[in-house]
Amino acid sequence: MTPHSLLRSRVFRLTVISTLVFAAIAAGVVALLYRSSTEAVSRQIDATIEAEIAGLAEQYAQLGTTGLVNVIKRRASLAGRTGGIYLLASADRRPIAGNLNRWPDAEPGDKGWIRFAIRDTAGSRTRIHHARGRVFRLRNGLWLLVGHDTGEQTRIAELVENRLLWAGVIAVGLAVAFGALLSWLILRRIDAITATSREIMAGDLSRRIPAARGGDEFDRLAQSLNAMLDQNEQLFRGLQEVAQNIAHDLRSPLGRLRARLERLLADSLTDEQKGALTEEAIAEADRLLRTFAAILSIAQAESGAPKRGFGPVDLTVLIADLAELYGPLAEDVGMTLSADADGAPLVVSGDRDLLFQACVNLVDNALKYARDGKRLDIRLRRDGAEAAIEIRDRGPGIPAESLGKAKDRFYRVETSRTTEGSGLGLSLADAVARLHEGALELTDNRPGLAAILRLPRSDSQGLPQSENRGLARTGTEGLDTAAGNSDKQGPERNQLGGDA
Amino acid sequence: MRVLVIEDDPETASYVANGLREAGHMVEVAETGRLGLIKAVSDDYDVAVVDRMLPEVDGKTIVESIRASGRSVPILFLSAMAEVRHRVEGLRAGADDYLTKPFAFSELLARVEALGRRGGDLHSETTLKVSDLEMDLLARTVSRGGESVELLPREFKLLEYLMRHAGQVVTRTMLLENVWDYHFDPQTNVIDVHISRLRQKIDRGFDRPLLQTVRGAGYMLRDPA
Repeated sequence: MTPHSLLRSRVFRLTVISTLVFAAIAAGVVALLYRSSTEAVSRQIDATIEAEIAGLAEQYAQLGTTGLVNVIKRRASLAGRTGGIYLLASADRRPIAGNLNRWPDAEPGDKGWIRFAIRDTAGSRTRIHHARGRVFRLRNGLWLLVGHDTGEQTRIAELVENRLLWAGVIAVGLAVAFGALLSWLILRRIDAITATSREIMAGDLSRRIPAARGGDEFDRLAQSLNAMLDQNEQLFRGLQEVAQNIAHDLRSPLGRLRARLERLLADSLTDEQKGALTEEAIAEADRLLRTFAAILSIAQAESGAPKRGFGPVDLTVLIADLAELYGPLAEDVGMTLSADADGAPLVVSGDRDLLFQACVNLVDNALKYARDGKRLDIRLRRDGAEAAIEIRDRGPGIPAESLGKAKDRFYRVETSRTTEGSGLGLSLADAVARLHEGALELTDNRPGLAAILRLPRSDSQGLPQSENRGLARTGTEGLDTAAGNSDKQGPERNQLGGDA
Repeated sequence: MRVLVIEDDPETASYVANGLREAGHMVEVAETGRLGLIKAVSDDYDVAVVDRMLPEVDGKTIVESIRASGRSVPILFLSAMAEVRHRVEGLRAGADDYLTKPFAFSELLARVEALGRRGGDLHSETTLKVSDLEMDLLARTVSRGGESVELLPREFKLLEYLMRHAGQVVTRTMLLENVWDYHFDPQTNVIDVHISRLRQKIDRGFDRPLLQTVRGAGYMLRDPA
């Protein structure tokens, strides 16, 4: 850690500031204590002075001026021990008796209290003492000063101030050292996180932040960051896999397309053969385009963008339309399609076309892979706050070990590889379910596959059902407008429903 | 028909224009939105094909401006945006139909022709007639050669759409959108099954089939005579 980075460190600055604040508080407390104790000493001195004055006044009253002079002389001789200061001066303030060689220059203040300095010459050294006293004018015109040396008090004050200054210097030093230590301890952890994130940004997705098990808040942060990184890495790998799958799955149809176009160049072909080849090529290109459209639809559903166009959709109508559209096709491939939805409206908030697409994909799967099962049962069920669309076939089903992967993009059960299909149908149905805050469940129908599309119901919240496009058009009777108009009005109505 | 194509991508523009010309239409191409808008409001066209993403003035604004100028020319909106939201936006702006890129040319042609011949008040009609096939829209009955034909409600609607577009190619997507009112990708030949059932009911036993399959495009109902 360089001094520069230390100064920029928030931890360092905070530690220094907080240590200084505490030092200032401590200094304040000490100053307060010091002041109150000096005041106590001052009061004591004042009390001593008052007591001496009282004593002297008594002597003066009893023994007169001579007695007072004697007492002052006696007391002045003891002044070395008591610190007392006495001076009796004439009316023109010339000393008569006492231990002060001249009357102080300072002017007495309130009630004759006075502060003054004493020059104490001992040998070559001159010391200045501070003193405090009280001045009286006696009845006979003499001046009396009774005081006390406060030099001791001043010395203590100087000593304390000196110590406090040192304590301050030490506190600042400690604050800086403490700040540096704390910063180092904390920055060490943060730097580890920073370094790891840099490495990850540089491309090494497997890097993780070192974290002790169950430790402090940094460990918890590291653990949750690591969990996020795990998830990101997984998503990224998934994306990579999808990209690889797209490349892999689209290579063969593109190859076939290319081969057909190449054969078209051959001279020996009859017009009829050329026509057939062209049609095959177009069909191949259409399949490719459909695959891309499905990939885009999945991406769109996953982005959540279609949510803005959501409106109430009556699943009862949707299932009836589904059965009506696919019934004849099922019959043609030798299956019986039965739709079971009790007549009452079952409304979800969603995109009618995407929901229909999801159901169509599930039905398509059954028609493709479960023909041998003969039966395809579509059921719409109320399940508490959910609506469940069940599409059950009696075909070969999906092996248990593949059920988890079946919804992955481009995943195809090994045995179905020979059947035409993109491996995107279930992925799209799953993405549509998740877009509607629902889920697609794949389970074993014993035998066959049960695909259950669960969607949260919205009809309990009282949506305006009359605006619903699905509801407005019950059966075929509702749609008696001209075809040209209906293709304009259909989506309009949907949008109105969505806005409602 | 006179068709105005407002499309900035030269390749798509010439692909569309050449195809429409081959089908016997007169085509004018505008490469920018500004130019297209000027042409659309200053001249009469039977159909306008408008790309959504255009330089200068975008497709949605063009459609809105054409409608604001009081012109009722049918508009087909072209866009790479397949989302329902965008389709609704385009139709709301005043477009009559919407086609997502990439598209098969047969799909575009069928839609342009369907739009171009839509003129006239369709609602006032009470009967439709193609050769000896007759539909009574009020009684909701159908007869061929005087003999009554029993249709399911959806079959009736399917036939109505085909009869209204008699002599025109109608694609499978157009049928899904207009007869079933769903915009989705069926992946299977689900429409073909319905057509063949309808064909069984209206053409079976008659020498001249009316409902024909147009290879690589869709279906057409027409008087073979």
